[in-house]
Amino acid sequence: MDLKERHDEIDAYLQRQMTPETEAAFEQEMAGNPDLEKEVRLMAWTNMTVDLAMEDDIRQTIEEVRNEETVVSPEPILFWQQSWFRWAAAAVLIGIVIIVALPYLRQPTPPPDEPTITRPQALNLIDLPSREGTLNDVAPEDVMKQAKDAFFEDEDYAKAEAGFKTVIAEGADAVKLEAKYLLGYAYFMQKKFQPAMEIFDSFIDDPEARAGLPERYGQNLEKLHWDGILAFYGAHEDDPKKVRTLVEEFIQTTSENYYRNKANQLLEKLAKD
Amino acid sequence: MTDAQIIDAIVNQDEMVEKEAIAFLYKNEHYRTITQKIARNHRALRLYTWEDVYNESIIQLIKSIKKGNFKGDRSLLDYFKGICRNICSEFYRKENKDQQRLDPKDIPTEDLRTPFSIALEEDLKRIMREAFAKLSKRCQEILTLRMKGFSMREIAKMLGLSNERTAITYAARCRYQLRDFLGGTDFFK
Repeated sequence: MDLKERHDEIDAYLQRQMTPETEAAFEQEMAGNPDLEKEVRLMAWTNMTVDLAMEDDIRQTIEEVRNEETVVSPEPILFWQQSWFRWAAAAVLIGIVIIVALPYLRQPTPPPDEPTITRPQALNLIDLPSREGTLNDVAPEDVMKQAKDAFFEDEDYAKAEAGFKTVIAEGADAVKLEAKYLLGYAYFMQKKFQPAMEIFDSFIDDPEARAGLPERYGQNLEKLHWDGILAFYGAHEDDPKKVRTLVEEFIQTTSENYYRNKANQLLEKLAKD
Repeated sequence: MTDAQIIDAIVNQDEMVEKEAIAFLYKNEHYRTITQKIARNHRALRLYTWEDVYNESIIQLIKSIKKGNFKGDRSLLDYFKGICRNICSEFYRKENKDQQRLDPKDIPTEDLRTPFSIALEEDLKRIMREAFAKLSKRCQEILTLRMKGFSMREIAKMLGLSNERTAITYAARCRYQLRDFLGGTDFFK
């Protein structure tokens, strides 16, 4: 059969309109027929060209929508909208601010002994989970308990890491998620930022895993986002620009002031650097 | 607007109605916030911002609706999330192979079936745009309608052609023409 006669069939294949059986048969035929395979490729490119044209149309419409958004209808300019008035208003406002702030400005400035955040101390910005309310450990010899003792009491994060890994490999399902979560922080505290980030991300991406964590530290998505950014910060010391972008985006999108404040602190630190 | 209303408006042939739906989607705060979060999770991106991801994702979403790829088995927002993640990965791939020239021969057929224009080089896009612009309006229309998932029978009816057979022959002729404009088989050499 002339390949031209098969255009509609090829088109159906390219647009995924064939049944799985027909598609399998078509692919099998294509594997043994180089001419057909070539024709499919050529048609895929013509289709892609049409696809691009469609996309350009959509792009143009979006551009129009965006421009309409910024179009300002011409209206008469009233005196308080004129620039001289705005400048005068700004000057008055600045004057008021200076008068109000003057008494405070005269007070001695506090000595600069507040702790500044240096890069290794970025660890200080993280809130470690609290042990309170997590009662999965039942016996002293329990590996999970030992790992949690190492984590919460002794701050021996290498030992905690080993314990949590054992629980993840061999422990009961009920505590595996908790162990994985705490393992993330154990990594973080040892400055193993990359694996820490991967664990935080896995919880961010998986609502079911989050829901499976003890309520005390399992439900806060914003915290996980923030801790993920800190881990990224630790892992990418050489790319402060990217860190800054991430933090700025976080500030714009986070719903919790607590983490927004922390993000602002980090931003200030990055600006100083 | 509900999902059904958006889809109706986009597949509708009325330009004004379609534009209204596109504006609704584009300005939708919910879609924007979702994109910001997804792009934020995709920390590997260096050169592209969440707004780049958003623009591209909205375009792909609208295109998918036009082509009938969205089957309505989940919400439009969930479908959009999937697109958004793919776009992030596509941008990431592009960031990491910017220096590599795209050779049409090397692209697997499977990729050609799910085209992402992001992957194409600007030179290649220019050739494709010029070739499409050289086609007659009628050819552009018939190929676009086919791409939107209309059957040849429906296209024949919409364009006032005598029957399905005529539409098939016409479309094949337009494709060969487009192929010639693209540079024939030389396009692959």
